[in-house]
Amino acid sequence: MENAITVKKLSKKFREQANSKSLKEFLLNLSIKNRPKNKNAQIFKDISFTIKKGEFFGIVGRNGSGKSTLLKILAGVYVPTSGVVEINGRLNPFIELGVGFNPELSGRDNVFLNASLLGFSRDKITKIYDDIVEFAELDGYMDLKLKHYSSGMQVRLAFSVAIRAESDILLIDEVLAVGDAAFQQKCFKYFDGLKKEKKTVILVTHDMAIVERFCDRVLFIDKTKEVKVYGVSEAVSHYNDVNSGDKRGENPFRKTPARIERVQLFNSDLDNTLIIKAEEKITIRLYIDNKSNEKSLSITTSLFGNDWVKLIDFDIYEAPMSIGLNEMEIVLDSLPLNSGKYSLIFGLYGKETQYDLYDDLTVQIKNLNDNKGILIPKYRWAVKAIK
Amino acid sequence: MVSTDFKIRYQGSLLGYAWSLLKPLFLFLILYIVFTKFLKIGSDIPHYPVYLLLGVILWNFFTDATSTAMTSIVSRGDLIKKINIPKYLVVISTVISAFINLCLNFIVLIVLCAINHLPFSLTWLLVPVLLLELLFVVLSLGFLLSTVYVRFKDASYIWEVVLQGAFYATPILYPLSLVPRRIQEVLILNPVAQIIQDARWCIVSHDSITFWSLTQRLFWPVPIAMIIIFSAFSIQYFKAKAKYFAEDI
Repeated sequence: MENAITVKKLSKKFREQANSKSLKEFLLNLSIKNRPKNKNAQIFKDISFTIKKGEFFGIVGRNGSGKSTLLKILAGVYVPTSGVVEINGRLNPFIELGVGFNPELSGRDNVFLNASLLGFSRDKITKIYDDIVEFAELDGYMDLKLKHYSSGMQVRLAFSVAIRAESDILLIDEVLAVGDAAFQQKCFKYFDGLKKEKKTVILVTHDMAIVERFCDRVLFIDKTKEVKVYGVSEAVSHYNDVNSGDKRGENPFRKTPARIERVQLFNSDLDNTLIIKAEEKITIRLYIDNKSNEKSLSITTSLFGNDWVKLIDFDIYEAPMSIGLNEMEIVLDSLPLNSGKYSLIFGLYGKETQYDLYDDLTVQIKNLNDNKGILIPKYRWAVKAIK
Repeated sequence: MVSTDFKIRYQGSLLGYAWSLLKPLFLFLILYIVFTKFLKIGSDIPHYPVYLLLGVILWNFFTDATSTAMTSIVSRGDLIKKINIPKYLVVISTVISAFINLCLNFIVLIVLCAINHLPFSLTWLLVPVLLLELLFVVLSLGFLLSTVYVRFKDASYIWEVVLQGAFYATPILYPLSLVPRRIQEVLILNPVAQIIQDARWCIVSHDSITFWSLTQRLFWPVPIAMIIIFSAFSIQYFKAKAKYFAEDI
């Protein structure tokens, strides 16, 4: 099959101009002998991969691993320091939704603006305008300024415009991070449509459920910026290996007095794993670092299925916590859940506020019997002749 | 792309747009009162209001266009960081929308000519050529300044001071004949001064001192050559740096 994108020996360095953010500093530094040297931040070194036509290609990696940088290089926003990126086909320039949206303009004008950035002519936009509005379910709001829209409305509008793009290659960056369940359903339908039309899609995400559902192959970027392309099932297990029981780095943006440092899952044999047999007993071990003055904390446990259906949600109120590191064990006896990917999310609360949200845990449940549906039914049956 | 950028600018707010049109007119009014009623420089010049307004609107276009072009790349950074758009369009579209302002200001100027009973002459038809020359100068400066501004955010203050100085070094409010001939020859090398004086020659009076009248005829290509060399340099510089705008903003 033909290649849509070929990346050969790509390297990217960011030039950090340490010595001069302003002309004043620049001129001052000229006179000083030991001026600071320009630092280069190496992001990628000699990476090569190809994406075939019609492939649904995932890019997965941790925060800050360079996923978005890679996407921007593919989109031509950043230029590679060395190496070649060959694009074969028309590329959708959109990395994010709603690029160029202007809050001061009305919804209508923003549609025209956004669509013209997608390369549509004015006539063409006028033709598809009604469809866009209808799809976004924003009929009657189009003359309102964008700044008066709710964020959900803005996303819907942006999405409705973006899916009109008539390109061969689409670059999508975590659009699913925003929007409610109904919106995500729409996204999924759109992805299904793209798959059917055999479009080339490059999707950056860290949701393994989405990877498993849509992607044909996955590119992994690990901590050392090495990249490797996997098939989907390999990718999922690799992701679990990398993330299982890993100590979480501190969120630099939110220093909280109490946090969930890591979470481990154990099966009925008390092996640390992320793959659980159906109806097996699951032991969850939470390591909670309590630096707050509270002697008890509350924990919310939620379990989400595919498409973010909430399956479980329960609170443990005011569990006693000592100051420092605590180990908390929660045991879930036999969940009647069928095979699939499930996301576990834990919330940590004090009396007044939420301290932490732990949301990087994906559990895989394997049912050896061939049932369909989300739940494993418990059923009996009988036949009786009626006279 | 250019048309979308227009939209952003013009649909922003009607009042804001009216302001940018009125700004040179207010400046003109102030200068007119100061220079005819208090300083009495302007009162000996025939058709001084037209003479002054012409200088003011050309200068206003120059400052407005170069300053907005300077920050244009950085202020559209949200777009440049996300889409691979031709960067020069961003600069061009800001300059062009300032240019549209200038054209509207010219309508006001024509009205003022009529009020002043300034007779129409065929040389008026040369003005568009001068405007094109000015547009070219401003575009080149815009490319240069916007590139510098991406790297050095304090360059805008420096440019402001330069503009302030250049305002007095350019014969906008005073007639060029007020300064000694040696200095006239230096001042006229400024392309903006040369354009303003040429425009005055075309519209107001053939007595206006121009590059042409100051030097021998043989030197007429000098201003043009200067501008072409300068713009070639600016465009090269812009082209070399434009690739990295998305990272450097």
